[in-house]
Amino acid sequence: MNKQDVKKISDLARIEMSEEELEKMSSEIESVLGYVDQIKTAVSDSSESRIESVNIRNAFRDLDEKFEENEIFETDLSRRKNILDEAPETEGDYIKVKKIL
Amino acid sequence: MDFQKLTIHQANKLLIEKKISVKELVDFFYNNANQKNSQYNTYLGFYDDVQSQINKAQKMIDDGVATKITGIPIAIKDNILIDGKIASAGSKILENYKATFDSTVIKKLKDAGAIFLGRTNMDEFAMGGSTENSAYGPTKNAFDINRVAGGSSGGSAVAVATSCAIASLGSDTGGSIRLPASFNGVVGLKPTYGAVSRHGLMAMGSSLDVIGPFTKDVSDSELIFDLIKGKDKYDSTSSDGQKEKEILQNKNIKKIGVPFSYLKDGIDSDVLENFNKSIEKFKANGYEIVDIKLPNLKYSLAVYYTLMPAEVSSNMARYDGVKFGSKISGEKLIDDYLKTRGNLLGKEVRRRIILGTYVLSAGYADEYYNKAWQVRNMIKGDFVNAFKEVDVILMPTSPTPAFKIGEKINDPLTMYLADIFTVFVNLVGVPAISIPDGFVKRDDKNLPTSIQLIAPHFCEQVLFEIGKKFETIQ
Repeated sequence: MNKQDVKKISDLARIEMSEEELEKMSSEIESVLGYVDQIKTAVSDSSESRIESVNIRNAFRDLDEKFEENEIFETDLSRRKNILDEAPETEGDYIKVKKIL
Repeated sequence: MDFQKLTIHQANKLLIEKKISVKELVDFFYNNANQKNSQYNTYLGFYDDVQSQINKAQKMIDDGVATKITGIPIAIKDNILIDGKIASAGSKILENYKATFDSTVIKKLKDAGAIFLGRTNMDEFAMGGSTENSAYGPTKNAFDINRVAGGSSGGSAVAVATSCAIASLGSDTGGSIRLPASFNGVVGLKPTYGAVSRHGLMAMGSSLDVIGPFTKDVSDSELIFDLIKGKDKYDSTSSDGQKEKEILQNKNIKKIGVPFSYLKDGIDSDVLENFNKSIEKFKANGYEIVDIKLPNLKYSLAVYYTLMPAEVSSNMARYDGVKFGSKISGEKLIDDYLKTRGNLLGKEVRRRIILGTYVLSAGYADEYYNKAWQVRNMIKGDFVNAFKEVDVILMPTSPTPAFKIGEKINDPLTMYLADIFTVFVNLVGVPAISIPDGFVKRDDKNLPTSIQLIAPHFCEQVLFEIGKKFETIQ
């Protein structure tokens, strides 16, 4: 993984980094990937012929398991205000962001 | 009266018998914590409502409705939410973030009358094994301030070890409870994945994270686990594990498996010596030691450092400077993101996001992420097979005692290797407990070492039973 690769990935991940840090990070990531590479041979080394791949799925709440009215996060105004207070910028009851289009 | 060595059970007895008041007890730990904080950097902040918590707890005792933990001062890792309190996760990006609801574990402990003293230091967003990745400086080891506390729940471990709380909560994604417990000579429990609700715990690796206690002994660990466990509507992966527990009914716990071939390399000789002595103690007390094979264990770190960063990169996307947390403004919206995340997330967090984004990216997901899942399933298979033969697995918690501050911080891979005996427990999802088993000498200081017991899913009871036995034969 070279500096250009790290630059591309960091842009995708929305993380600004200096030239110097990109350089350092690429060698660090390279060494971790070098270590991690052993998983590629792990599967072929295995005597098990069929190993399940990714078997993760989302765990959803049972539909028959209902929330009581008061168990749903209280939607009273003070709680709403607390949540809005945590946003860096607000205007009225809205979270404010820069123009997208 | 000397409060320093009190366990929850002992303090509870004194409170119920009215030999001491909640205020006397809490004041001692609160003052001690304040006094020692400049030395150890254990707490990032103390809560401002301790007095009202004391009043509430004392009233519960006076009214005869106290629980085992009513009036007991505990410390909370800085990534567990308490309504209205700052929770920074050891990060600059959440420096002033105030939680807007109680996590499930906090709600349960609040209802039971526990006293929350303050929030403890940690590696930023729980990423690290030494607490050196905290944006607020490292926590110092309880036995040698030149050494690391272990991590990521370093503050929670040192709080208990230095009598700055009777117990504490931490979180464990790859060893973050067990490693600091071992480095500071306290008991640390990593429950079964899903046994304790993650609602209100800041997510790091969502298929690995779990909340658990630090305590002075195994009985206290059981006490807190019993209070915080259970299925929770707000966490769909939580479970009571009834089915798994039935297998355990009336079973005589006798067979202890040790993966001897995995303990040959990379472990300090005196740490291994302590471990071997512990094995002899088990043998002398009627347990049978069985040499077990876990052939895929050697891949566990490689699997962990593929899957965990992938989950980290997804979970960290929420810190964007829009909805909560701090923000650095740029010219356009994209500059807001780049600057906020580039400047306010620490080095290790950024490193793991980059690594995770890479292993999930088009062209590499098959090679890394999907393959890692396959190997994770192979490791799970090893444990399924092992538990057909033995009741519990025994290993050291860490191959070394606490290392020096600064020793590994500039070499991420070496730092990652400290987790060699802990990460697979999270990959498999089984419960494990770290219990002190002796000391080794480094630079004329005695540093604690620990054994780690690992049980099948939802069989924490096995850990408590053997753990309590081990404490008596120590």
